[in-house]
Amino acid sequence: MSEPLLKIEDLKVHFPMKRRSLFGGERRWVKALDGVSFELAAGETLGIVGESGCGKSTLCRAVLRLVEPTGGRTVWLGKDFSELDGEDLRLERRNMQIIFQDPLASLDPRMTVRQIIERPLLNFPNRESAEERRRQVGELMELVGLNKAWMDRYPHEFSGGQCQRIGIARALILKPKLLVCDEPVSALDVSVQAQIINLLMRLQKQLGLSYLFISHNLSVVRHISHRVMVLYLGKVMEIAERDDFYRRPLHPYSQALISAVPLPDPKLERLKPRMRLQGDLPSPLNPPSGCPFRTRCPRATDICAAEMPALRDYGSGHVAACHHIEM
Amino acid sequence: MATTKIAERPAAGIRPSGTILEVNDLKVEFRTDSGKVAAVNGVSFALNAGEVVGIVGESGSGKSQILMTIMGLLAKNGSGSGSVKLRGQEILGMKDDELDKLRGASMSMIFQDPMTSLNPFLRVSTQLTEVLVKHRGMGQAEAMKRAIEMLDAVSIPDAAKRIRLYPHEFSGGMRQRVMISMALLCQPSILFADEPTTALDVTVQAQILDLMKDLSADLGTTVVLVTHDLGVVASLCDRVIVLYGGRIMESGPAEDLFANPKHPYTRGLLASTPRLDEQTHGELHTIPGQPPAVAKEALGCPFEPRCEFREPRCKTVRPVIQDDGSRTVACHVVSL
Amino acid sequence: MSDAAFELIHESDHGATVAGRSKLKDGFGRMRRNKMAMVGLVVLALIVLACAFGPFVLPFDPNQSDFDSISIPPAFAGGHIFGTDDLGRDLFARVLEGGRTSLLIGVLATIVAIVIGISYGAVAGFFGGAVDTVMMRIVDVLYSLPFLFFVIMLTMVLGRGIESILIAIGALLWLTIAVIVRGQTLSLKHKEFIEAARAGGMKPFTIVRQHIIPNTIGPVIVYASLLVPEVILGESFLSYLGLGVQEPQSSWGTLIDGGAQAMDTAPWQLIVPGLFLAATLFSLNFIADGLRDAFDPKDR
Repeated sequence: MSEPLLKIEDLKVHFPMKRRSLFGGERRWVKALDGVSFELAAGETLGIVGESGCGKSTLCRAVLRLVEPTGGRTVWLGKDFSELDGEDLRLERRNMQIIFQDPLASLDPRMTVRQIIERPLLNFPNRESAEERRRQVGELMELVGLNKAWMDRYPHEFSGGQCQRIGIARALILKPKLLVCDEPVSALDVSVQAQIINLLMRLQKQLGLSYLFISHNLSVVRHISHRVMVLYLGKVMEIAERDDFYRRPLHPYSQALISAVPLPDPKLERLKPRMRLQGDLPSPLNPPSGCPFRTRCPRATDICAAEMPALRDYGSGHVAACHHIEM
Repeated sequence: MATTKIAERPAAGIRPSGTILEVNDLKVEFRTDSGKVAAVNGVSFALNAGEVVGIVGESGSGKSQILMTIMGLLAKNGSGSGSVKLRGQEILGMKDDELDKLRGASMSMIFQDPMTSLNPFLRVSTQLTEVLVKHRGMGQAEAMKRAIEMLDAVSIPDAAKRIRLYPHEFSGGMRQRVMISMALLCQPSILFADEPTTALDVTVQAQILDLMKDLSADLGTTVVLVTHDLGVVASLCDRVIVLYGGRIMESGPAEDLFANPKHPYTRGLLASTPRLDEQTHGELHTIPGQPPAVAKEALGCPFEPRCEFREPRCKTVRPVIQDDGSRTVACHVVSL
Repeated sequence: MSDAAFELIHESDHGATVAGRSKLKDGFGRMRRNKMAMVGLVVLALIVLACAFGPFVLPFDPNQSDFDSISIPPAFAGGHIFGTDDLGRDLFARVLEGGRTSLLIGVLATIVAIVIGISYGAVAGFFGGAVDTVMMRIVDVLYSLPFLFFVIMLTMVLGRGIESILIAIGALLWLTIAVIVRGQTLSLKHKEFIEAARAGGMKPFTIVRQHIIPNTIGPVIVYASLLVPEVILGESFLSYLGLGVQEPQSSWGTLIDGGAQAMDTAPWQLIVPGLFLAATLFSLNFIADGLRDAFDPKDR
C-alpha cells in the first residue's frame, strides 16, 4: 500500500482555561481535540462530520498548524510535519491550503480580486513578472468559473458563491496537494451550493487534489466524500468508506445523526423510523467521563462511563469506538 | 436514560378547517440610499386553521419580510401595501397599540437566533409571566404556574427550577424551546417561525421539529414556517409555498409538490439538493447564476435570467398564476 | 462554463463599470451626499487657502506696525478689514499667519501621531503575548504622565517655542491611536482572510503591513480628523499660557490671548481669531462626522 498523503496520529489540541483562583487549584483545559487519528490518501476526500463542539474546525486548523497542536503527530508526505519550524514550516505551507465557511470574510475587503489571488505567489517569489502573475490569476479565475475581466473588482461587489470561487482560486494558485475545506458551502444558497460542490469535485479529478471536507451537512458529505469520519467532543466515533457508512452506520451516534437529517420527501419522512436523542450536546468545558456520547446514548451502560472505548476495526477499514456495537 | 421514539405525523384531514389568514397582493418596499427596493412583489395566499405551511426561498426571496410585515415588525424604512386579513379583520397598517393586543395573543413569532429574541438581562420566568399577565390578565402566581407547565410541555427538564435561570444559562436547543414555549403561552391561532432550526445542530433540530409537530397538533395552532431547507419543509409541512425574487412561483400540498414539482425553479432546486439517500454521485444538477441580492420590480418573471426554459415573453410579461384549487403555479411555459 | 456566475451583484445597480469601486470610493461617494460635511470641507478649504496664500495677497505685513493705526476697529475704509491690534498690525494678516502656525502644528502633529500610533498598535495587537503586554504597559506609563507637567519640563530643556510643543503634543498624541489600532487588530486577527494569509505562507510582518494596517485606516482617519482640532486647541491653550509659540510669531492661541487682554476696549481682537478658530474646529468636526457616517462598519 502506498504511503498516505497525510497521517494524523493521536492529535490533541487542549486550550488552557484561566485558573479559578490565584492560588493553585487544578488548571482546567478545554479539550477541543482529544486524540484524533486518521489517514488521507492522494486524490481522496475525507468527509468530517459532527455537531457543535466536536472539534472539526479546530481539526482543520491544527492539521495546517494555524493552531498549534498540544499533542500527537502530523506526518505529511512521509515527513514529520509537527517538527518543522520557522522558514521550513512556511515553505511547506505551499502544499496545503484552506477555504472557509464565510466566503466574504475570507477575502481582504481592501484588495482587488487580482491582488487577493496572486498574493500567495508573492509570498514565495519565483521571479515571475507582474505580467506572468496576471496571466496565472486569469487562468485560475477561468478554472473556477469566474470571468477574468472582473479581476480588478473588489470582494463586496460579488455574491457569496462568487466569493467562494475567489477563495478557491487563491487556494489553488500555489498548486497544493491538500485542500482543507471548512464548511465551504454552508453559508451559500442552496442553488449555489450545487455549483460549488460540482466545482470542487471537478477540480479534484483535474488536479488530483485531496480534500478534508468539514461539514455538518450529511447529504453534502455523502455526495462529495470517499470516506467519512464522525467526531464527537474532540474524539473519533467512527470512520468508514462512504457507502458503507451511510448504509450500515455502526456507532449509535452516527445512526442518530443519519436518522435526524430530514429528507426532502414528505412520504419517506413520514414513514422513516426515528432515533431521537435526549438532551443537548454536553459542553466541551465539561465532557462526560469515559465515552463522551454516553449521556445521550440509548445503549449506554456502566462501562461507558468508566472507559473510553477504543477504535476497533470491523472489516474493510470500517472502524468505530463503542462498547456496544450491534452488527 | 434515553429512549428511542417512533413517531408518525398524524395524517392531514384531522385538522380543523376555515380560513384564518388571507394575504392579498402583499408588496413590501424599503427606502435605501440607492432608492426604493422591493423585497416582496405581490404575494397572495390563504391559510386554513390548523395547517402547517412552509414558505421556501433563498436570499432575496422576501420570505422573512412577509412574516415581519404581517406581524407589524417591519423596519422603519420599510412599508407594506396590499391586504392582510386575520379572521376577516384587516391588520396591515394597523396602529402599534392595536397590533400589540394581537401579537402574543392571536399571533406570535419565533426567530432563528433565540439569543437575540430573549432579553439577556431578565430571567426566563419574568419574560414568560409578563406575556401572560399582559395578555391574559393573570395574577403573578397563576402566570408562574402556567409558565412552568409550558416549559414542561416543551420538555425542559426540571422546569420549576430552571425557569429562574437567565437565557444564557440555557443551551442553544433549550433556548429555542424556551422561545417556542413563550410563543405558545397564550395559545395563539398562528405561529410564525422564521428559520427556527437553521442555527441548531442536526440532532437538536430533529428534536425541535418533533416538538413543533406535536405541539401544533395538540393546540391546533396554524404554523407558518419560513426556511430554505427543503428537508425541514418535507418533514413538517402540509402545504408548501415556493418563493423567488419576492413572488410566489408555486404552491401546493407538500407530498404533491415534492413528487410532482411543476415550476422550473422548484424542479431545479429539488434536483440540485444532494440527498442523504442518494445512490449515485455524479455531477449535481445546477441552476446557473445566483439568486438576486434583492428582489427587483421586474417586469416579467424574476426567475427568467436563470431559467433553462425561458422564452422571450418571460422577460416582459408577468406570468398569470394558474390555480386548480389545490396547486398554483406562476409560469408561462409550464401548465398545471 | 454553464454554471459560471454571470452577474456581479452591483452591476445592475450602478451600470457597467470597468474598474471596481473600492469601499474607500464608495465611502467618499457617500460623504459627498452629506451636506454638513461638504460645507465643512468647503469652509476648511477656504481657511487653509487663505492662510497659505493670504499673506502674499494682502497689502499688509503681519509684523509691520503702523503706529498711526493702533487698535482700529474693523472697517472697510483704510484697508484694515478686521481692524488692527494694539501695535498697529493688521489683524487679518496676523490671523492668517497665525492660522498657518496653528494648522501646520495641527496637521504635522497628527500625521506623526498616526504613523507612530498605527505601526505601534498593529504590531502590539498582531503579535500579542509578551510583546503586546510590554508595549501596552509602556503606553500606560506614558498615558499617566501629566500633560502640562511634561510640556513644562520640555520647555525647560528645549526652551519655549514651536519645537517643544510639537514634541510634547506628538509624544502623547499617538497613544490613543495605538490603543484604537490595537483593538481593531485584535478583532481583525481572527478574521478568515488573515488565517488565509497565514496559511498562504505570508510572513507575519508582511501580514501586518499588507492586511492589518490598511484595514485599520478607516477608523483612524475618522479619529484623526477629530485629533486635528484637539491639537490646534491644545497648542492654542499652551500658547495662551505662554508656553508655546512666542512673539513675533503668532498662532491663534497667542492672538486669542492678546485679544482676551484687550477684551474691554477692542473686542474684535478676540472675536476675529476666535471666529477663525471656531470655524476651523466646526468644519473639522463636521468632516469627522461625515467620515464616520460614510465609513460606518455597518455599511452594506
